Amino acid sequence: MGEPIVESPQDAIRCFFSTGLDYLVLGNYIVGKQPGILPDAPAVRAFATSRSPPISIDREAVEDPVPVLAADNQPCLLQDREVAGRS
Amino acid sequence: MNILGINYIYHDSTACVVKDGKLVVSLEEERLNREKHTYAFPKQAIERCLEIAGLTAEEIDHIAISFRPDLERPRKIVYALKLGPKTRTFSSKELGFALFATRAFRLWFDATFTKGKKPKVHFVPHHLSHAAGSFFVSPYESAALLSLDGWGEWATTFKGVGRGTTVECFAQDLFPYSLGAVYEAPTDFCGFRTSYDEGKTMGLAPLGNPDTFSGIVEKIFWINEDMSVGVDLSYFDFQHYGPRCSKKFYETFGQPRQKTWNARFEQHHLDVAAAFQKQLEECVLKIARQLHERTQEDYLVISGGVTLNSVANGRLVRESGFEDLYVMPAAGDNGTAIGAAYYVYNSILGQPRTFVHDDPYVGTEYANDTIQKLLEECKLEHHYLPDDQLEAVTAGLLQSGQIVGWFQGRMEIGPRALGNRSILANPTLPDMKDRINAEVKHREAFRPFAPSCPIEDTPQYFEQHVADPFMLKVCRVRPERQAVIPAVPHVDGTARL
Repeated sequence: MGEPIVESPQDAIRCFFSTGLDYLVLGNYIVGKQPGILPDAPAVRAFATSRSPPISIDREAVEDPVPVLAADNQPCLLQDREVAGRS
Repeated sequence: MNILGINYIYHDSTACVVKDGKLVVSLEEERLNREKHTYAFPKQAIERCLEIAGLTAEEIDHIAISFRPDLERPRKIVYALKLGPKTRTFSSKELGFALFATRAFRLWFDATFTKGKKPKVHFVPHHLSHAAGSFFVSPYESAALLSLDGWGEWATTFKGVGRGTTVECFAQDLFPYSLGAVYEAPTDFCGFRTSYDEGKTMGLAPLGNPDTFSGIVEKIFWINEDMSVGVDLSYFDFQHYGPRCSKKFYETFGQPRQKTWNARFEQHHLDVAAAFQKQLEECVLKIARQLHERTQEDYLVISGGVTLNSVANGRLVRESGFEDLYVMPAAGDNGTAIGAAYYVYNSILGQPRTFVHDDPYVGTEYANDTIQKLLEECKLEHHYLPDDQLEAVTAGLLQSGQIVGWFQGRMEIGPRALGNRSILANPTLPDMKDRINAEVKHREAFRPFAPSCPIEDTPQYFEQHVADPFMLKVCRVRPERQAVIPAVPHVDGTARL
């Protein structure tokens, strides 16, 4: 408790291993906690797109100040749209 | 023209470099010496700032320091003599402080500038560094100015107006009439560290009932009709540089909480936090409304430690009459390094205002090569993710409930991690808040987390009509959305967006 925000990658690695963080993303590198469980990127990516709640963002609904849920009543994650835009 | 800005006097030592009017880098010493809120002279921060700015010490034209040690000295002497038996403690602390303050800087200055051209040194009064400095880097051509903190040289507030590059001060309150110092008392009472953990008091407040003690607290501190701060000093001892709370404080409110992080909170601790928070909000609002009436300005610029109270700031946005407010990402003393530098640039040197400090990412950054080398040295299994997969992969991990440390680009300045050195997690999972508090942050279970949301989606989730890029304007989560993002709303349904 009471550490300043991390400054360097060293600080980040120290923080990573002294807390319950599961993954660490440093720049373009990703580190997992236990050897061998680090998923290769395409698999995680597939996971990211397949297991997410369906990304059925209705463009009109986005403009609408009254919030709406996706078609199957699942909440949409904020990141999903980016994922969708890219894949 | 190169200006080096320095804050080191009270806490949160910081350095910055302003090059031809542009803030090129600013670093807090605590990030480098790893001592939170450090008051050490920011030697490392200065060195790194110069390195990042590509400057040698000889290329610095001006040094701006965010306090003036000789300011208000006669007033301090008169005040000290009036204290009677407590004169000695007060004087020795005040004197020791002044000596430390000048010496630390002189030592560094003499060691750094041994020969050749020496930069001109400006000691900028603390509240001018706060108020004028924040205004000069705000997006507003003119605005009402308000700074509130514990105390600077002697002043505790700054109320005025800024237009172009001129700043007018209407009034200042003087020690010991201080909202910041008063708010440290409940912080101490609730077992937190004073001067640093006021944010915890603010977070604790919604768990208590403000009405239990509000009748008493309204009579402990208030705002007069002339915008000045009123304090009933019999509840405090800080005015002699003693403990924050006096005997009367404990007689009135009860036993304080133990100063261990897992000590139990009794109901009266919560109620004291709630009552002081409520009264602080009312006081800040009252000053702001009076300032609005007097200046007729549309915008307000706030600064100083008290304005890190993002709950009060949220109410300012909604209730003060101003359309919006600007607050630096480092609104506390860390930002005064930047404030002092811009006071020198715009006010003393009379340069036009060209810079808006809307980007908190002004710190250090590390290239992928450096990171890769380090990971190899540490023998850590790592994978390279190209840019187009980085966010998708991270989103996938978050989706499945993993907690991710996120380290990207330049480090942010100010007390909040704002997305470049942050801990990321899925806000839709109900147990996430408790998991992070217990597993990652090892901190008190009541403390909330901040949501991050694309600005165009903000209205869908939050009752916020202004931009808040620095996590300093608390708003409500839309009631119908609270269940969707259960890890985000605090007990009172608000979020540190």
